[in-house]
Amino acid sequence: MTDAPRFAVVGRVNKGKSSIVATLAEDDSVRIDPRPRTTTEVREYPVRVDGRTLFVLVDTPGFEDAPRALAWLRAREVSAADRPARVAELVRAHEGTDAFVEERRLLAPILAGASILYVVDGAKPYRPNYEAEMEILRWTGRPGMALVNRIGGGDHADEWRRALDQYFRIVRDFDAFAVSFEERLELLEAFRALRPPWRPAVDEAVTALVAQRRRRRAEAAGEIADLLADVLTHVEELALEDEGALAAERDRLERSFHDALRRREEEARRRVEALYRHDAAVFEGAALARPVLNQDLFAERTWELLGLSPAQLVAASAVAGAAAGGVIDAAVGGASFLAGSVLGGALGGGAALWGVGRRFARARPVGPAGVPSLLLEARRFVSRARRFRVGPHAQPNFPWVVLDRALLHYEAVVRRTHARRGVVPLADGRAGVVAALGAGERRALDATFRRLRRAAPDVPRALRDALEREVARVLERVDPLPGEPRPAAGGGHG
Amino acid sequence: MTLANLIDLEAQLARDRDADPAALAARDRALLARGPVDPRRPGALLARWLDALREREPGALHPGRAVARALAAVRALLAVAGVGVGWGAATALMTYGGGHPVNVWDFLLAFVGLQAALLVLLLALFLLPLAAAGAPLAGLFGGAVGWAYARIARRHVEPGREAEWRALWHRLRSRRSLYHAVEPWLLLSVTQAFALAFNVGALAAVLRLVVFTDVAFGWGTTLVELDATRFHALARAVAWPWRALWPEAVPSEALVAATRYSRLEGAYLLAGAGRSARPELVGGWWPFLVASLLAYGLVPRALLLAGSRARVARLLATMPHDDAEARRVAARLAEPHVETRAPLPEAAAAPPRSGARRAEAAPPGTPAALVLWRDVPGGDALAAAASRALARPVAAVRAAGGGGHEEDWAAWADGADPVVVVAEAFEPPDRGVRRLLEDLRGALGPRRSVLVLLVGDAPGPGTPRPEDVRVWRDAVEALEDPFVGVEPLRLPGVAP
Repeated sequence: MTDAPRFAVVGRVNKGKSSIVATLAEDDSVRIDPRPRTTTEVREYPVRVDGRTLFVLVDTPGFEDAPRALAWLRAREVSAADRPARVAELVRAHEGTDAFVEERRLLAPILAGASILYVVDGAKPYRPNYEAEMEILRWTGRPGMALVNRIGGGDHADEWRRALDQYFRIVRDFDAFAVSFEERLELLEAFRALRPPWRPAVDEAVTALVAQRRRRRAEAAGEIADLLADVLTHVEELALEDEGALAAERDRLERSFHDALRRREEEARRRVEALYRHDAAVFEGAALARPVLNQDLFAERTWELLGLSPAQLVAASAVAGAAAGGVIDAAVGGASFLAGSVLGGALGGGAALWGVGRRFARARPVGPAGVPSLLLEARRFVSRARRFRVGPHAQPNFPWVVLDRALLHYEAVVRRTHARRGVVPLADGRAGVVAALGAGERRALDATFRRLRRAAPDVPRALRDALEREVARVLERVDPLPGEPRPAAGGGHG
Repeated sequence: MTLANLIDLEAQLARDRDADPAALAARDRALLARGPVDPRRPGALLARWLDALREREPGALHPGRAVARALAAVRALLAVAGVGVGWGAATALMTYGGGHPVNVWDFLLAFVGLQAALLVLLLALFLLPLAAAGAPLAGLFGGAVGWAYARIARRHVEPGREAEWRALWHRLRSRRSLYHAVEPWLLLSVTQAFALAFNVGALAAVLRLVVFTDVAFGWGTTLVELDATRFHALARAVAWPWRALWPEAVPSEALVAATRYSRLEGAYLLAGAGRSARPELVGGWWPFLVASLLAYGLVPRALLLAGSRARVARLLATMPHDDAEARRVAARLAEPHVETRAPLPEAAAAPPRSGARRAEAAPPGTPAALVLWRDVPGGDALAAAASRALARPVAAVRAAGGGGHEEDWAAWADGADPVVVVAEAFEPPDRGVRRLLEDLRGALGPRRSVLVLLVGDAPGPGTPRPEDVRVWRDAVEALEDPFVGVEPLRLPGVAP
C-alpha cells in the first residue's frame, strides 16, 4: 500500500459506486450490474502518472446492514472523540464472523486513512434509513464528500441534498453515466478540498489527465484523417479481357469496392474507441436511435442526412475552382448519392465505363507512366488481357459524408462514460456536423479533399498532415478541453 | 538522426500503427523515463527512443543498420567497379602499339568532355526545378519500381493480401514525400563513389603507362581550320585551372605543332622529320592529360562525394520530424503517461441462480400480516392496496428496519398466513432483509408462507419495474425456501 491519497467510494449496494469508479478510472472492466453484491471485495484503482501513484480510488462493497451496525455502535456510545476507535472496534470485534461482512470491508480503507466519497442515487427517493450509513461514516471522523449519482429517470436530488448537507461538507451532482470530461475534472478538483495536503497530487493528476485527453484528441484527428485519405484514394484492380466485361462485372465490383470502404470505416471507429479505452462499448446496433450512425455508409438515408447540401457543395467547390464534373455532381449530389462522377467516368474509361463510373467511381486501365506504359500496351496487345483500376470514389459529397459519420462517432465516443455498458443509446436525431462548419472551413476541407483525390493513390504525407490539422480543428470544437473556447450554442453539434 | 535511424523510425511507426494506443503510451514513456525529454529537438528525441527500443526489443525488426550497411556495401562495390572500369578505360585509350600514336582528342573526349558533360547534367538536375530536369527520369524509375512491386505482389502474395501489399506500397510512397530532400543527395553520394573510383582507376592506369611504357601522343583533325595554333589555344583553355599551379602541364605551342598527326603519314615512327628522334616531345602530353584527369574528373568528383555526404548528414540531422506520426511519438515521450485502471481487470460476476419457481401459496381467505420494510411509505393506503392485491384482509401491520430490535414474530403474526414483507423494489435486497426473512422463517415454522411484496417508487403504492422484481427474485431464490415468494404489487384494474 502506498502513502498516496485514497478516496473510498462507499454507499448502499447498487447506488452506482462502481459506475463512478468506472467513469473516473476509465475502466470498462469494472463490474456494473443491477444485481446486488456485484462488488464483494475492496478493489483499488490507482491513478498513476509515469508510474507514480498520485491517488487511489477504492471501490468497496455496499452497506448491507447499516442500521444494525449503527445499533451496535450506539449500544456502546462513547464521546465524539472516541467514535473512530469504536468503529474500528466494530470491525475488529466481528473479524472471522459473518456479521457486518460488507460494513467491515468498506470501513477498513476509511479507518486506514481514506477520505470518503459517499454515493447515493438521486433518481430514487430519499429514505431516512440512509441516515444509519451516514451516521456510521460520520463516526469514522474522516473527511467526506457526497455524490448524487443518477440511475434512471427520477429526480429526487433536492431532497437528497437537504439530507446530505447535514452530514457532508461537500455535496455534488455526478451522473456517472452522462458526465463530461470537464465535470470529471471538476470532481477531482473538489477532492482537494477534502484534505489540503493532497492538493498537489490531485493537481498533478488533473494536469496529466488534460494532457492525455489532448493527446487522444490529436490521435483521433490522425485516425480520421487516415480514414479520409484512405477512402478518398481507395482503388481496386481487376483483370478483364476488355471494357465490355467491366460493365458485366459491375455489381461485383461495386460490392467489393464499397465493402472495402465500409471495413476501413469500421477499423477507424475501433481505433478511435481504443484511444478512449472503450473496450466494451458498442456504438451501433438496433437500439441506436440516431439513424445516421446506425445506417450503412452507403444507405440512401445516410446521404440525405449527412454531408453537405447541394448548395453548400457548390459553394465549397466552385469558389476553390472545382472541375466541371465536380460541380455537376455537386448539383445533383443531394438528389441522388449514386449520381457519382458521370463526367469522370466518361473521361476516365470511355463510354463503355459510364455505368460503373456513374455508380461510384472512375475505372481506367492500369499501367505505369512513360516508356513502361508503351511496353505494357504492347504486351496487352499480344495477350489481350487488361487490368482495370476502379476508383477513387468520385462523388463530391462522399468525403463529407465520411467525415460527418466520423465526427458523430467521435462525439459519441468522447461523451460515453465508462460506466455505460452495452449499446450506447443516442437519443437526439439531429443531422450531421459538417453542415454547421464555417464556409471558409468547408472550402479549405474541400480543397484538401480534391488534392487528395488527385494525388491518389499515393498521398503525399504533407497533404495528409494538412488534412489532419483541419480535422483536429473541428475536433477541438466537438470535444473542447478546459480553457478552450466552447462551441457556440446551437452551432449544430455539442 | 542517421540514415539507419530514419529507416528504423519508419519500420517502428509501421509496426506501431496497429498497436493499442494505451500500451504504446506506457511503453514509450517508460523507455525514456530516466533522462530528460526535450520535445523541441525531435530528431535527438526520436534517436534516443529508437536506441531504447532496439535495446528493449532486440528481436523486433530494426532494418536501419542493415540497410545502412547494405548501402555502404553497394558503395564499396561501386568503388571497386569504378576503379576497374577507370583502369580499363584509360588502358584501352592509352595503349600504344607502335603503329598510331595515342590520340589526345580521344583522351580529352572520354575523360574531360564526357565527364564535364555528365557533371553539368548532374548539377542541372540539382539546380533546376525537379519537374524540368529530374522528373522524367525519376518518374520513369519510380513507375518501373511501382509496376514491378505490383507484379510481385500479384504473383507471390497469398490471395486476399494484395490490398495489404498495395496499402504498404502507398504508405511507403506517402512517407517518401517527407524525405524527398535527402533522397537525391543519397543517390548522388553513391554515384559519386563510383565516379571518384573511376577517376582514381584511370589516373593509376595513366601513371602506370607513362612510367612503365613508352607512350607516344599525337593529335589530328580533318578540319583544315583547326591548325596547331588553334589547337594550342584550345589546350591552354582546357589547362586554365592548373596553369598557375602546374605550368609544366600546359602544352607548349611547339609540342602541339610537333605532335600533329596525319593519316597520310603512314607509320607514325617513320613519318615526320625528327619526331622519332625526340621522344620527350611526343611523350610530353602526359602532364597535361594527368592534370586534365585531376581537374575535370578526380577533384570535382571527390568534392561532390564529400559535399553530398555532408549534405546527407546535415539534412538528416536537421530533419524537422514535424509530421503527424512523429509528433505523436514525441508527445508520447514528452507528456506524462496516465494510468487510471486497476492493475488487473475484475473477474466476471457469477451468473444468477436459474430455475425460478413459484412459492407455495397460502391457504385462501386467511388474513395477511404486513411487515413494512425500511421506511416503505404509504401507511394505510399501502395496507389497503396490499389487501386488494392479495385479495385477503390484513390482520396486522408492523414496521421493520433491520436495526436488530424486531423479535417475537411468532406471536405478532399468529393466525396470519401469509406474512407479507412489503419492500421498495428499487432498494436491492441486502443482508438486512435476508436476515428478516430468515428470522421470520425461524419464528413462523417451516411451512408458513412468506411473501415479499414489492412496490415501486411512484407516489402512492405503485407497481415496481420488472428488472427490480427480477433482482429480488434472484436474491430470494438463493434462500432455497419454497414457502418464500416475491411478487410485485399489482392493483386490480391497474396495468403493470
